[in-house]
Amino acid sequence: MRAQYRARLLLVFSLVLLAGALFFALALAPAEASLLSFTSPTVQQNTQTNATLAADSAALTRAKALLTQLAPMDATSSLDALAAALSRAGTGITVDDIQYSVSGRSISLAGHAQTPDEVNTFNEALQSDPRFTGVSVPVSALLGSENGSFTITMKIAQ
Amino acid sequence: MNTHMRGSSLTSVSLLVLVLAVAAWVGVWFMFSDISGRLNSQTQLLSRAAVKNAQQQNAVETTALAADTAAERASLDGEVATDVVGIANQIQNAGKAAGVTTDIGSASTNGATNMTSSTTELVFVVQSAGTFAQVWRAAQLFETLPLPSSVQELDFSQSPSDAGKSSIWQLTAHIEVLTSSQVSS
Repeated sequence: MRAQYRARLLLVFSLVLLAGALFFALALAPAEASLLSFTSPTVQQNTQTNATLAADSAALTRAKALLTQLAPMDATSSLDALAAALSRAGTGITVDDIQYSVSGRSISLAGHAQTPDEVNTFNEALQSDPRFTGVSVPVSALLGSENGSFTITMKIAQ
Repeated sequence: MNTHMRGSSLTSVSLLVLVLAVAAWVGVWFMFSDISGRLNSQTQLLSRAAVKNAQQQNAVETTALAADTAAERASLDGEVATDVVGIANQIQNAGKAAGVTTDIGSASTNGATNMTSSTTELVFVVQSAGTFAQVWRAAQLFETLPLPSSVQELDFSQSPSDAGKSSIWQLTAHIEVLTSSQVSS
């Protein structure tokens, strides 16, 4: 009687084991189906030789570098700012030396004024112009202790 | 006796089913290993093909871009092809057009040759003399030379003049020009 129970238990265990195996086999079926339907991917054929491709790449890189170098060399006039600064000078002001650093965006104007007031007016006119920053004139020129000579320096606003 | 026989055959059947189940699991394991291996190789194949296709696509685009921009690149090369003598002539002509006397004091390289673009930056120091209106006009023309150039510095200074004569102004301009012509330093 005990042997019969043991045999039944073994049968049930074996059937469960078999069912599990069948279940996993069925679970693997979609993967097998997709593998069977797999087709090799197509790869585009290379029509260019490596040398041609390298030459094209080098030519494009050179053009890019050239454009980068040429970009700052635009055709806009930088004399407008200088003309604006000179236009602020009153009738009693004579400018006889102009130093303009286009790359440094700075202007230095040197000259003579009939009176210290003329220098002061010129200085104030430049300071009130938003196109210029850091307008500077020596105090001695404003006090008239340089016989009317002056040098005004300024930066061009960005 | 009958019960004993029935128990014996049940045990046999159970053992047979057990053997079958074990064999089925072994089969499933082999099937799983086989599918895993094939899936791995397929994934690698797809990955390699994707990389290869991307490289080919880049090559095609590069070639097409090079072909499409050939004329523009040739024009760009022409822009910087002017040699030192040609540049000097252009500057002299600008000065002449402004009505000033123009001398090119010096020309020097500004930094080393750019190896990527094969170009050199030359700085010309140009001196002109004339009335203020003339040197101002010369400065304007130097700014708009038909060359890849930019004016870096402008110095205007008034020279003492004889009584009754209009004052003479000196202009010193530093002009930077980009050229691909060979420059010996």
